[in-house]
Amino acid sequence: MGETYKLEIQGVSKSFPGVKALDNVNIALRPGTVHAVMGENGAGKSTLMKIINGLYKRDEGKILLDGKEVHFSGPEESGAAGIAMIYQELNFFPELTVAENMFMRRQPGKAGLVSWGQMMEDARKILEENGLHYDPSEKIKNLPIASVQMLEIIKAVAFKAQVIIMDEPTSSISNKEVEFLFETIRRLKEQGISFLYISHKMEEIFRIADDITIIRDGKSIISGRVDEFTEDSIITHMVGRSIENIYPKENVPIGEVVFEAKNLSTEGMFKNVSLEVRRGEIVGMAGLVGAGRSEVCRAVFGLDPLESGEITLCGERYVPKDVTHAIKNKILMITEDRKKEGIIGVRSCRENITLTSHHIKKGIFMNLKQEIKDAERMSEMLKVRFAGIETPIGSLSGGNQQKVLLARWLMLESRLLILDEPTRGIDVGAKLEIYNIITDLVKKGYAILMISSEMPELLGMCDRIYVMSQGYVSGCLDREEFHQEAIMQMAVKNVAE
Amino acid sequence: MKSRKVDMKKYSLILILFGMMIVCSLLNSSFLSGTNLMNILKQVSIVTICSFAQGMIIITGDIDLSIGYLAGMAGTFACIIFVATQNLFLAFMAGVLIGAVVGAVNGLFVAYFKLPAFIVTLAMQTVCFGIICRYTGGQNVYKIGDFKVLGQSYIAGVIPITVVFMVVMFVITHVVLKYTKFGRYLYAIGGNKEAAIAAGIQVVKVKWSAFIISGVFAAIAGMVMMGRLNAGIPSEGQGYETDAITATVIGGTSFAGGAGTAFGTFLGSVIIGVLNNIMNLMGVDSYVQMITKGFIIIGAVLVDSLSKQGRTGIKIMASSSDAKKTK
Repeated sequence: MGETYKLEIQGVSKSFPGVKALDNVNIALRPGTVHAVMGENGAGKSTLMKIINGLYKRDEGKILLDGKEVHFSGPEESGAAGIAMIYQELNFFPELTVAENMFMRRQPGKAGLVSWGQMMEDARKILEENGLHYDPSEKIKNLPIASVQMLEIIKAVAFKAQVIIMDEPTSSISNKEVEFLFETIRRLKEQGISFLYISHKMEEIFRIADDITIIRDGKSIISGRVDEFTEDSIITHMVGRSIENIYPKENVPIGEVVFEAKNLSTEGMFKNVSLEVRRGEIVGMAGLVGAGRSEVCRAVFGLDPLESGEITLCGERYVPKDVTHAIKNKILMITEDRKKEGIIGVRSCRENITLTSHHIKKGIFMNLKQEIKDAERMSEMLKVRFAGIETPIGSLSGGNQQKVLLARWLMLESRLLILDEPTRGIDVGAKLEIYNIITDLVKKGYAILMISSEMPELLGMCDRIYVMSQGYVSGCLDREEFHQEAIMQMAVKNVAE
Repeated sequence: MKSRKVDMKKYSLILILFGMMIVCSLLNSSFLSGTNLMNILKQVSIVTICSFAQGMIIITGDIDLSIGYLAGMAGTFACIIFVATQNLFLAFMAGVLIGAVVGAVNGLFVAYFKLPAFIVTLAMQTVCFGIICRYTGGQNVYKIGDFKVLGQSYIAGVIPITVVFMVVMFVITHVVLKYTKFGRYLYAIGGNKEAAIAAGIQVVKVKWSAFIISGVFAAIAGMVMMGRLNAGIPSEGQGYETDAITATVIGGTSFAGGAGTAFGTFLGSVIIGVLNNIMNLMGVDSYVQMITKGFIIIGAVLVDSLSKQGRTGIKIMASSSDAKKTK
């Protein structure tokens, strides 16, 4: 050993009534490195983070900062000691300016008064030092999410953070922004700042991490240098079983064209988008965040406006009006933001499943018996894991929530099923199950249009991929032509007229 | 583990009510008499009808502050129409119509134009009171004759008609909330409006309808109220909207929307009724009663909030236990 660590977690355990959330976790963060913490959802990563910053008290074990044991009573103390957390959901005040957000609770001034001039000046200095060209008097809500994230990091460093803990930092930013984030992390590493980096994304880990610790069922399974691992070995450690090929692609006979869109356009969103989906086909939509993929699908589903273009659905003309109209025409869509536009968190899984099923009726009333039966059948079919159909959906993990939402649509007939980022924020095991469900659906004759920002997922699952760039379809590839680089090139192609 | 906890929550109100009744019966021997208990029901019946309306609106995540004055207006107008026509059915239906119209106006602005319900219905209070006072010149309407059967008669000689109205409205509310699609939509909209839209629920229509129903309920409460008073008193409904909020919140309806039941609201209302009753029986000063009631509301919300924090604890356990099953 002999090596000195910046932050050391030794044999930390934590129990909640009825469950051991953490069981003898060991992590050693070397100074000036990025240490990735990987594990499935529910493996205990977030509990661990909360133990480090003192939100939870550990039952056993030690946390050493610079070799000295520390006991933090909360984020304030840990922050003062130089540990900063950057959460998945960023904490900021949208209506306040960049400068105000940076200096929140640290505003320069006297006697309770804020010295605005100095605050703006200091903010500008910090931003410039870090190569960020934001106007400190801009309101936060006008910045893209990645910039806000960058700001959080810069802020942490400006206020003397030595250890930065990041929870899924790239889950809501585009590839280009990821590059910028990584550059920033690398630069800060050279200044001796250490990172604890929580992520699901394999490729990122191999690009940015120096060390890896894998957590499973609350236990740290293995730690080591990143070059001692391969993608497969990480997955194996994470799920405790090896996944031969995580994409259960099967050759399904492809039928007639079910959905055909011609020249769909909405000013400022997308232009001249034409695409088709056949029965039994999984069609992917690739592109950078902001390329207009979600917007096209949302317009088809009636959630966003569609200004012009023609849609033919099973040979009939279809004009999007609203979601009710789309559902009536058997166009269904799982939206990208599960929490915001998917689940009704406080209501039971049963009610979430049957929310749109109008057929469970007895006169003007609902047929409760039938409802329970159907909800149970669907959850069993999709292997939803919960205490029962009366569990509030908000208390389930992301993967199980997604399955319940799938169940909601599978109760209905479908001509076109649109899945927008169906596996975002879902752990590997549940992802695999979702892929299996999708495969089963196309075998039953479903036509599926799938948006994903995870290239391997599209390559693994789709029969065809449309690539969008700047609101245009910049290309379409058949399965034989699939190639990560080809897609990437199309995605960044400058297609503006 | 979780289901047991939920059940606890479900029955906690009943336990509280029983506990209160035991304490009350020890404090005052006449509390448990049949007459007194029926009295309590009679006293709470009108506010309970208002609470069902309020509960439905709060479940969708909005609020209806117009209920009280609307009750006063619709009730008084129904009296006037009855006096003019001597037709109780016609007068009743006219009252219902007035409630529906006011509810529809609320709904127009809240659901269709998406204005904040708090402001719209607050403004509608003054509109309602203004309309009825403009018509009556601010006077009360006396000599309403048989209109009083709506509030003073008894069924089978023992059950007050007001209680019957309350029970009927309870059944309607319960069935609507639990057994109809419309009820599910109310919960869904209150739970997550964006998700409701993305699930194809016609949010504008559903909310609008909810306000119309709330208006009708308020009007019915108003008519029963005037019958009971044997007069049309425009200002009488004042404050019923806040009492209704109290009952709903004590009854476990979440102010954030998406949760609440008719039965809970009923219990909430009865709990307040029992409290009022025992304080009256004990001769507690009416100002002290107001202070007590105020703190009890805060207490109820505190309990609700604490139990929600408890629920976060369950959440952690639930997610980690299902993670375990994944393996």
